[in-house]
Amino acid sequence: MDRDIQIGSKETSDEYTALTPRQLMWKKFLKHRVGVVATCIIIILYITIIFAEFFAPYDKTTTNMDYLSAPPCRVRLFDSEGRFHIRPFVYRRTGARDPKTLRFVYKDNVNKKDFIKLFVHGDEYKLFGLLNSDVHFFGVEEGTVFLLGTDERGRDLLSRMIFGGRISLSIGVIGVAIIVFLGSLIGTISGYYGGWIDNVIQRLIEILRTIPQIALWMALAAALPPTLPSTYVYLGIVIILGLIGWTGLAREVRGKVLAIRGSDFVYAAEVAGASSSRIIFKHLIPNISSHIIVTATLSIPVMIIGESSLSFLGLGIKPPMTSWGLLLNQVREVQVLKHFPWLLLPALFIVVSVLCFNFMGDALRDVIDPYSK
Amino acid sequence: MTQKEGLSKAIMQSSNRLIEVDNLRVQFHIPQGIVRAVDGVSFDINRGQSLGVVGESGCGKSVTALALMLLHPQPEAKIATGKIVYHRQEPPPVEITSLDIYGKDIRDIRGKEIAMIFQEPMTSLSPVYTIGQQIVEAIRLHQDLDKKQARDLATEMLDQVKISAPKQRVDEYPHQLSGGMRQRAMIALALSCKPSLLIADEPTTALDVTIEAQILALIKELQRKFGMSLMIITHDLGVVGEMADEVIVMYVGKIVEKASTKELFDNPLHPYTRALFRSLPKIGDRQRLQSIPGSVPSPYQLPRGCSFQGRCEEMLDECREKAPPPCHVDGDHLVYCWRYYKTAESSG
Amino acid sequence: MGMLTYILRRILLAIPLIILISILCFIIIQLPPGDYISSYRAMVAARGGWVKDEVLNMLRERYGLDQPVYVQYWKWVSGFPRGDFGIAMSVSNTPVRELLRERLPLTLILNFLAFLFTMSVAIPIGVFSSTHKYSLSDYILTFIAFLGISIPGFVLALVVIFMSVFVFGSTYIGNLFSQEFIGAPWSWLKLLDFLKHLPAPIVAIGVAGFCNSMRIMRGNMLDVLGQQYIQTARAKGLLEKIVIRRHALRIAINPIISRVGVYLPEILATEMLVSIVLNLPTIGPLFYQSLLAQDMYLAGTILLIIAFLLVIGNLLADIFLAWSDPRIRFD
Repeated sequence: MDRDIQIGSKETSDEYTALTPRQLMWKKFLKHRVGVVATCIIIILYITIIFAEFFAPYDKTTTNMDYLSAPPCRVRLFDSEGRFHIRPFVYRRTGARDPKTLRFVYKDNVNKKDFIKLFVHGDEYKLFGLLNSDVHFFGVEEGTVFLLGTDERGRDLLSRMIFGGRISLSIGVIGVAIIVFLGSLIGTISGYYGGWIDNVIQRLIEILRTIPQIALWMALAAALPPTLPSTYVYLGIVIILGLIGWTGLAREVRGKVLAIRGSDFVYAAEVAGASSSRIIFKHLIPNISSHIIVTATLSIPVMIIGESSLSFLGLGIKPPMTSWGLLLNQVREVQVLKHFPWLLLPALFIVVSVLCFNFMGDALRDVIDPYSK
Repeated sequence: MTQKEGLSKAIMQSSNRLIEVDNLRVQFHIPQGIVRAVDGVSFDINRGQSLGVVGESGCGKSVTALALMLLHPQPEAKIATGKIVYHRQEPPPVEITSLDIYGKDIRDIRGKEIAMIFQEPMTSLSPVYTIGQQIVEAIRLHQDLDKKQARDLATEMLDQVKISAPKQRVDEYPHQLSGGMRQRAMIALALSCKPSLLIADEPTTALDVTIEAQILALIKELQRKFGMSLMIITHDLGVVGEMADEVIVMYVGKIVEKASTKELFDNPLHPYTRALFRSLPKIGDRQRLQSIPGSVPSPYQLPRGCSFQGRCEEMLDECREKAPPPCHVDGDHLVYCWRYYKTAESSG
Repeated sequence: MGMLTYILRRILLAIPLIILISILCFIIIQLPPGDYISSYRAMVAARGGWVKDEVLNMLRERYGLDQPVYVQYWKWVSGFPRGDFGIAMSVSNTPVRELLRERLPLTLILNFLAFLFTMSVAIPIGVFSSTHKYSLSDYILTFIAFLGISIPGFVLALVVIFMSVFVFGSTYIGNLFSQEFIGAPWSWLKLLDFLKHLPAPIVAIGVAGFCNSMRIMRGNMLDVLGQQYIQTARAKGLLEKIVIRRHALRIAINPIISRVGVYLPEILATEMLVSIVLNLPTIGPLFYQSLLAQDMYLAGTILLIIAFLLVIGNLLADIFLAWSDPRIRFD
């Protein structure tokens, strides 16, 4: 790191500018343009899903019989006569069944313009189970605006994706919390005490890591009783993801603990008579906490991909809850892909959020632990 | 000395000259800026002579040595200006600085005519090939020998560097050898093609003191045996006193003093050199160790004028303004310090 | 010490590992609540059938279902060394061995080819990236690598399907063989057909692995290129590309080989997902079907077989690593 103490400079003045390590890390993080952009995207995503009821134009279960499997509607600024409107609008669409293919085809009605407004009244909802409201971030007063199209039951894909994001992204965070707790605890014990405890734990980790994680997840998820209600399935999935995923973090933590354990300051503490728990909590953990943060951030994508894969296969989240993986479950047929390609959009969201977490974690690692690469 | 003596000495020296370095500048281009690692360095190495290069870490001595073989790190380091000329046995001399870094000409020189050994014997040899394989690789690159002949030569070289049981060692891996033996193997590798110049970059810094003495003695003996020149880089004045005929002292990319070893030890002139000598502990002397006040300037913010300003006890006003030129004191003794400019001028 | 003792030691260590894994698989088998027989009967009933009593008795006998847990474990596990992998209840009680007969070799071949594909692309590109650090191609490749590891396996499979069918117009999708060759004996035509079906799944499986390995290779090369022995090699007068190939690459590749043990389960996991989506006749889809039918015995058996294959794979990788990096042998 650049030293901030300059001697013998042109000004020949003894100016000491020392920044705290935290400030230095913050500055260094800001230099990672990609990491900063990724972090902003993630913050936007999380704000959107926390206030999902507000941001989504429709409720996730509202069906629209008139608009089954409708493609995304085109948002326009210029109408058919070439006039410019400041407020974006969509044409009212009517659907009819094509007699040949028996599929729905939608035509724009150029005489009916529905303007998109902010803070419109729409479906009623209860924010966090407390506040009653019906204000949505955007929408149309009459007609419909399906920015990303609808599925075969006429449900707005964008709204379902926002609600689905709530499940997918929250599982990521909660799952990682479990992993951090289990992993740090077990890793620290393993590294600090060594001996047969370490051996047993290492064997256990080896067993868990030999079998592909996805297979274990699938097996455990399938063992959940089929009659279990949706919320309990959510809990079950989170626990399963965490229960199998802690091994990676535990190994990292153990490695770090082993490295630090032999250092002189730990030895000095032991000689001074400090108890094991004091050494662990006051000396070891603060030193590895930054490393844990980085590993945790990089584990969130694994959780998200894990839940998506399970739900895609039908082994994960159950209706009426929805997640990005579950939304993709409908796209398994090649024919569906061909005729309704917009249904693949949840995959884009998965990729984007995973990508952003990976960039963010990479930038964090550069800042906090540059020697770990 | 008289003009005639000086002239004949100069003629003798020019035919004896092996390497001429003239105003060499090597710069590192990194995101934080340009670092002038070697900043206008000039010196010569004569045939059969040992040159010692002394200075602290980061003063540019290693980069200078690497530049002689065009091994300065790519793509960051570039030779900005300056000339390095290498005089072979038969003329014409080769202007090394004009050669292509990846070209055949410099590669023919590397290993065969100029060889180098490095500081860390632990990591200087590849861990996945045997010692024999690594020496044979160098031999067969420059000499027209078949596998068996090359192997025999390698074994013989190991014997020359006094490694025990050379016939076994030749098939062993580096991690099976001790630090001292590894360094001997390195020397065997470097000398396998009988180079005219051996560059030793801190060869004993990583070794125990007793081993250090053995290795240094070995290098000295082999130098005499093969009639090589030696450029020995170190931060240890004791090593210099032991091994070198001539010494250059470097500080932050520049030479501050140049003299024969005897002259330097008897009469150090530059304040930095003097401070270096002062900081050595002396047997029988029970005084407090003296360190040099201040610290080395940041390479991104080199001061105007002499680089040693701020730490020097004998600063003049000029020292802040301009970098000092070389001043001849007493024949071959060169010092880059304003203090001696006037005296040198006045003595003509 | 030598290679032989090293190999023997690793084999001896592998045996208790497999035993412990079998216990884990057995726990998984026992996980779903309820009596196995009644849930089996319910499962069949849900499909509109019913089970003969003889069949139920045979199952009880074979798996010791009314006996204590450890007996059940023994009855399940003891068949394996004999080649008796039990009976697939959800597949009309076919012996598992039959089901594996074609699927197992195909799984191995597919995974092996995907692994080769990954390595043969990742390693050269990783080396290139490291020797052209900070260049435009390096940045682009790094971004692609990030993208690759961010795409879940099943999404990749879907994309591959999309591209194959709608962009390339290929019909060799959705199985490893065309309709007419399924169940047919091997012939040159069948082999050709097989080869035409391979690119799609191999690309889908290989992409994630490639991206990871490429970045690791790049990182390793950068580490190695900063080491002193590279400088020594250059100082001998070697051609730069020989220095890279013979000295840098030779050492940089060792951490990748040692990571194969971690890497194999990942490849297998991706292969399973891709095979499920593409409906390939490998072990993955069989596992998936067994889970959907809650046939835990079949699922657990497959899990154990997979783990066994991976342990063997790990062993081979360790042996290869010991040959490649002499420092390991003298542990």
